[in-house]
Parts: sequence; structure tokens; C-alpha cells
Amino acid sequence: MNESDRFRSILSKNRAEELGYDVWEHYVIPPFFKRLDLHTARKPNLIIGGRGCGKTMLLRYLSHQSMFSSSRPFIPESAFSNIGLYWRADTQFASAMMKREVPEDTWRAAFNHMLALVLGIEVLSSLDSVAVSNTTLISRKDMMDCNFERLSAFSADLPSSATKLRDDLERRLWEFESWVNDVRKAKEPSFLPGDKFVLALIKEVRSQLKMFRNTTYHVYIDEYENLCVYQQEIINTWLKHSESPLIFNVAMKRHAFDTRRTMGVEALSDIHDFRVHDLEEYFQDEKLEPFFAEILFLPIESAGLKDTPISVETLHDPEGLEQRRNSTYIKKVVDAAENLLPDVSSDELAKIVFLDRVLLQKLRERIQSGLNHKESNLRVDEFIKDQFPSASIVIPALLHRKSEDPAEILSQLNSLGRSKENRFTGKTNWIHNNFVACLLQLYEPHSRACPFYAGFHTFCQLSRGNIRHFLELCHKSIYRAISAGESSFETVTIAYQAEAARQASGAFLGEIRSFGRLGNQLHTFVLRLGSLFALAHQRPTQSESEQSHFSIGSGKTDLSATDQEFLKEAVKWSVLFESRGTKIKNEFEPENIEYVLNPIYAPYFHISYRKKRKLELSTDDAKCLIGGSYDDVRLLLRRYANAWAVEPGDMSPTLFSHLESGV
Amino acid sequence: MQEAERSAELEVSRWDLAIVGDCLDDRGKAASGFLSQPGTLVVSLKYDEENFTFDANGATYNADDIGFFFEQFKGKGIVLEATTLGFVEILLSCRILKDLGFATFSLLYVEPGDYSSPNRSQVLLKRDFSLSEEVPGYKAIPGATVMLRDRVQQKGVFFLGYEARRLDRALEDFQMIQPSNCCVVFGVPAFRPGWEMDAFANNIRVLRDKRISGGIHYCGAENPAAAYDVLSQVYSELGPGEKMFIAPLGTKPNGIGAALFISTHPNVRVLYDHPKRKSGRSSNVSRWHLYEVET
Repeated sequence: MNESDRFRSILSKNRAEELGYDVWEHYVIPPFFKRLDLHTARKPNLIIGGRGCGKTMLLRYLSHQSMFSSSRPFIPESAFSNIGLYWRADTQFASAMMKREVPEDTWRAAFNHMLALVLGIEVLSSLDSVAVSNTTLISRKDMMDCNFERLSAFSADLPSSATKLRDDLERRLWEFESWVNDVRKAKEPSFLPGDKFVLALIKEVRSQLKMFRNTTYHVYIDEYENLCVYQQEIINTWLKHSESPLIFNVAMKRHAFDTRRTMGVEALSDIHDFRVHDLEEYFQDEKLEPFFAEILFLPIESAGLKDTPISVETLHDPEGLEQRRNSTYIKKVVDAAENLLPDVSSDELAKIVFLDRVLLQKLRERIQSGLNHKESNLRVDEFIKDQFPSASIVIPALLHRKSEDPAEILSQLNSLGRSKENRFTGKTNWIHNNFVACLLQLYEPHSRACPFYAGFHTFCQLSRGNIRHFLELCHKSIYRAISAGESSFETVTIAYQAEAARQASGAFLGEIRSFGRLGNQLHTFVLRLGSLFALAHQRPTQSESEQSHFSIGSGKTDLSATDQEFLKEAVKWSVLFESRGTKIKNEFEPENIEYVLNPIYAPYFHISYRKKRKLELSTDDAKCLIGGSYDDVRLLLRRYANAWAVEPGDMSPTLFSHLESGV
Repeated sequence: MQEAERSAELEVSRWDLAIVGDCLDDRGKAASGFLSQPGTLVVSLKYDEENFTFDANGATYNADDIGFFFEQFKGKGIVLEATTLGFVEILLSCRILKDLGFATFSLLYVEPGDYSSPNRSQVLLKRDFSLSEEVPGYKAIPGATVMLRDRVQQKGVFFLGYEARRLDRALEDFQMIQPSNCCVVFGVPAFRPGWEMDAFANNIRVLRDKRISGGIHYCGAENPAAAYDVLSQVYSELGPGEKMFIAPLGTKPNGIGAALFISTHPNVRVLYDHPKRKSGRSSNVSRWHLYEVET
């Protein structure tokens, strides 16, 4: 395998599921890790986050397979204090455990039994993990000598040795599967009492193994939201009554905590019964760049492909966080990422336009169009300033604005050239406020990818805390460079990065169809919303530039419960992000929720990924985008195109064709 | 197995009972019409995946009790109209007919003239087909439910069709499925030359992104026996203790092959997403197939 092939192979896995249970070597402790306080807290934790934010990876890191990984060179004594058990339910199997004319209490007992078996196997597997780890604090023999005879109180034929007990629980699990499949004819198993059985097993371990004397087992239930309601209620009951040595924790997507009921009279209450950790919120609070750079470099450094500033050992260890907060280190690691994936400044973006014959000609045409619009006799050449390409790029938008006079714009441009006070910079700052929108407009009808989407910092913003999206953007960029023969891994050219961003964006857009029950509808909605934003970006005046989020105001018809449910589903799957409205005009109005389209879709639609200006939709328009017919959406787009004075010719035919024909 | 261009060319025995599903397109109407003969009782069967029940001409039965429905037809000639029936109805029927000791039964299937694709004229979207309205998601089928676990070797066999999102969602929703231990089956030869390209092109991204690497098999799109043979081969190669499940996301005849295989291999399970088939999902009528099953 040559260096390029090795690189491809090493970077190919970017999901926790592909890495297995032992993620010790692959995990980078996130900067907010200590806020999670997972090990010292004696309360259950509710971990919330969208796809790709690292939930599963975190839970697997906390589980015994990683904590007692054979790759971990030294196992501290503290590792025995808290041992994690990871469980992800097979929800289609769990869905078979309801109805079918079987009494509800039988199903509840059956679900308890299944958890007793699954978690019992996990507790016994944790002994195996310890046995094969590098710990010297306990011997394999000690663990194999454990005697679980006392558990026979639950079922007389439970074996007493650890290995045989685990085999027996496995056998009972398959027997259970057969019974669930054939509840009429198969003999009902003798059900084990869920948490009581697991607790008894843990107590046996604690009493017989000195190193486990103070161990608390933490169960991490992934994708809790996919369980049936009565199953969630059973888990909720366990959450409510969690205490050492068995504490339950759950992880789920946003807006997925549908029931707080328990099997008892008291429901779960946030403050008393659990602590909420919103991983995406934590990501927003932290400076992401150093962490993302470390994630990017970890597989490269581990494989010895390239010298990077990271120290692999410190990344896996929470104690390494302090060292990683050192400003010199942060600068080094971010600089290295910037070198690999250079960002493009506004000035550079503008220069690229001036160096490109086709784009420059397009700019000239747009300026001429603006001058014609104002019936001005000024020459285009006067507005093309090689020294100030950014200023020239925003000219077409200014010329289309009613309030601006071409001669005055030219005068301001000349003032800029003479370093005098001017409106291109300073307070008015035309360049700052309009450059990105005008640049995207220049690229829009072209098939080439826009360099605006290139760069390490840009990739961080496009990812918005989604590690999988970030890695895909980086890896696709690097693959392109490798494929083109650039195998030094020193710098990936801007064009490859931009093309990779566009490609990744399209691929992630296609994935939406697989997002749950409403996947198809979510996919159609994003196509419609993205097209509307793309249309907004084509406004000649750029008076409301870079619209990539929206709020829903009033209209003839209120949003129905189904529409609200749909928006919740969009947030749950991180297709949209919710944020509190920032600009409330009337203090008596209820607080407005703003919806931000996931920035990863921006390169596909050729729109800005920055949260700048909001598009206010009426409820009628929102309903149309959510569930309107194709004809309705076509009319809506046409109405907005007229209102924004966008000529049909300005719209990319490939982008809007799906709406025309009704995908 | 009989194949004919027109229904009149099929050599048919007399059926006492014809089980049909919803007629959503031209071929469904033609097939149901063909079976509506004097002396044949036509029963409409529809499975409800939310409640694990099925409706037979207005009477509701629990899926676990499907035997109560079929028992009354013991000794009669039965045909399952597979064009209109969904996979679950076919599976539950095939299995219970075998369990109840029916010596033979028939399955009728009519190929579509063309599938519905609203975007054939557009280069980028020409392979997007509009076959399902809503896909409720992978839900258990009593008697064939797999318990997916990542600690156990489980061989997954995915029959693939045009709608790649169904495969994508299976691997997205059940990340305990090990892609390296999953194989895929394409319907080749397809109903018509060239249609296989749509299935390849639509699924290739998911196959690559999800790194499915347990093998690729081919069997005729219209041939249940070939599907059965592929499954037999995969089954014979299972390792010690290894389990097997089938995800029938491909053509209906391949689904029939899977249903028959599961009926004879009760330890093989199913992963299925219950798509709601779209009205007008295909147009026109092509070849007719009649499969005779001896249990």
C-alpha cells in the first residue's frame, strides 16, 4: 500500500459505529468534557445532540471497552470507580413487544427481562475487558473465580461461574427472541426482574472483587427516543430511582423526550432526577477550531503519515485538557490545520475573480447592467479597480439600489483609492456588508465551485459542531488532492476544497431521505427552502444579503399541529437549528423562534453559511414549503422572484428544475 | 414457473380462493381482474404494521393468528396475487400455508410496462423513481423479527431495488448491523434491459458510504427461484453460530423468493420497512408470471 492509499484507508472511518466499541485510540476528549461531570455525578444524565455531534462516540468512550482498552497503556485505579455499560436498543425488535393480544404487564415484564439479560451480559463483559487490559491491579484469575451462585435465587438453573453465566444469559436472549416471535406457541420464558437482577449481579461483583468494591456502574442507553412509550416509561423509572452502584443515563436527539412518565405516580423532573447535557450547545460555547484540528490530525499522526503538533496521548485523557488549553499549543495546532486547508480572505476571493477572465467579464456585464438601470453614461472601466477588487465586486448591487447615484458611488470609490473617508469602508462599510452576497451572485450561474466554501475555518462553520460533517469535508478535500497527485499533505489547494465542499454538501442533502419517518418530506422541504434562499441571494440590490435563516410570522392560516410536528422533526434531525429571535421589534410580542438551515447544505444551494439576515415567512408560505403541492411552490417562488426583481434567467436551471417538475 | 406475454396464454388450474391486495396501477387492476372468475372467492388482504393485524375482506385478525383465517380453506386451490399484495402479506400467507400443510398454492405476478419517474427528462434526476408514498420505517413482523445485536455475527442479505434510501435508512437506524457482513442482491437480468443500471446507480453511494462489503449477488428480477437459490447459497456459508436476516427491498418476485425461503427456514429473520406503495407507481402491463409452489 502506498502512502496515498494508506491515507485514504486511515481517513475512511469517521463514524463511531465503524470503529467498534473500543474507541480509546480514536477519541479526542472534547473541550467541554469536564462540564459533563459524568463520573463524579451521582445523578443520571440526559445527553442531547443531533446526528454526528459525537454522542455515540462519547458513550462508547465512557464504556468499559474503551476505559479498559488494551490500547490504553496504563489503567489508573480511578478507572474502577465508574464503569460504563453501553446499550443501543434494536427498536424494530422492541416494537414487536407490544399489542398482539398479549397483556401489557406481560410485555413490561418481557422488556425488563430483556434488559436484565442485555445488561447482565454487559456487566460480565466488563470483567472480561478488565481481564484483558493492561491493569496490574487485579488478575484474570480473581475475576474468573467469582461465584454467582446467589443469583440462582432469581432462576434456579443460572450457572455460578462468570463464563458459564454469560453463555447462559446469551442463550436466554435467543430463547427470548424465539418467544417474542411466536408468543402463541413458544413457552413463555421465566422473566428476570430487570434492574433488580442487574443490581444483584453488580453487588456480587462488588462483594467478591476488591477492586470493584466501590464501583458504580453507569448504563448509557443510546437512541432512547426510538423505544416504545411503555419501554421509555420503564427506563424513566430506573432513571428516577438511580443511585450508586447502578445509575442509568440516556442519550437522544433534540425534541425527542416525549414522555416523562414513570411506572410509578411521580413523573421525572429535570432538576431533581437528571442533568441535561446538550452537546451541540456546549460546542457553540467553546472555541471549536483547536478541537476540530486535533480530530483532523489524530489519525494522520497515529499512522505516522505526517508530523503534526498534537500529542496523541493527551487527546485521549481528560487530564490532558489543561495542556491542550495552552495558547501556544492552540496556535500551533490551528496554524497547522490552516496550512493544510488554507482559508481564503475576502481580498483573495476578490483577486481570484479579477484573475478569472470569465468572472471578470461577468462583473463588467453586471456593472453595465446597473449603469443601464440608472441610465448613466459612466464607463464600466471607471468602476473596475485592480487595487480594490472587493470594492468593484459590490458595485453592481449598489447601482441597483434606488437611493444610490452612480456618480456618487464612483466618487466614493475614488475616495477609497485616495485613502480618504468613504462609504466602501468606515461606518457604512459597503464592502463588509455586501461582498459575500455579491461574490456568490457572480459565481451562481457557473458550474465551478466557489472558493468562499474553502478553508479550515470555513469547514468548521459549515459543520456547526457536527464532527462527521467536518471530517467528510476535510477528507474529501484531501482525497481530491491525492487523486490529483498532490501527495505531500502540506496544503490542499482552494479549488479542491471548494469542490469537495460542494460534493459533500450534495451527498449530505441526499442523506436526508433516510432521516426517519418523514425523511422524504424533509428532503423535499430542504430543496424548497434552499431554492428560496438561493433566489433571495439573486436579488440585484442585495438589500437583504445572505439570507439563510427564517422565522414564521402570521398569515391567513395558522400552522397546524402537523406543521409544528414537522418543524420539530426537522430540528430533531438537525436539518434546521432553532435559535431565539434576536431582533424583537415589539416587546409585547412573544419571543420569536428563528430556524437556521443547516449550513452544510449551503454549498449545494450556493448560499451563505453565515447567519446574517432573516427571511420572514408568513405561516401560509411556511405551510406551502412544508406540504404544498409542486404547483403551489412554483407559484410561491415566482411571487418571491417578482418581489425581489430576480429575472428567471438569473436562476440556475439545474437548481430549480426539481421544483419545476416536482421531484 | 410460467411466463406469458398475455394472461390468456397462461395455463391455469381452477382456484377456489384468490388473495389480492390494493390495485394501485394498471397491472394490479389487470391481475385482479384476471382472478375475478366465477367460482373463485376473491379476498382482499391488508397488513397493518402498527397493530400487527391484517384485514381480510373487512374482518380483522391478529398476525399471530393468521392460521385461523386460512384454516377454513384447507384442501382448496389458492392463488396469491403478488402484484397487488405487499411483502408481509405474501410472507405470512406462504408461511401459514406451509405450516397448515397445503400441498400446493400459486402466486401470480405481472410485470409493469414502465415505472413512474417524474424526472426522466432531467439528467440529474432521471433515476429518481416515485414508488413509495411514505416509509413508516423498519418494524417487526411477528414470527420473523430479527433481534439485531452487534455482539453477534449476523449475515444480512439486502435485495435492492430503485429506492436507495431504504437501504440507507436500515443502516442508519440499526448501526449494530455490520456492513462488512452484509451482502446485496441485484435483480439482474432486470425486467427490461437497462433497468438494472437504475438500481446500481441509485444504490452505489450507499454501498460505498456505508462500506457494505459482504458480497454482491445477482438473480433474475422476475425469478423467485433464483432468489431462493442465492439465499440458500448464503445460508450454506454461514459460520458456526452465525445468524441470518433478509431485507427484501428489491423486486416483488425476489421478495417472493425470500418469503418462500423464510417459510422453510424458520430461524432466518426479516428486516422490513413497510413502504406505502404509491398509486400509479407504474403504468401499462408487461409479462405475466405464474409460480406454482409445492410445500
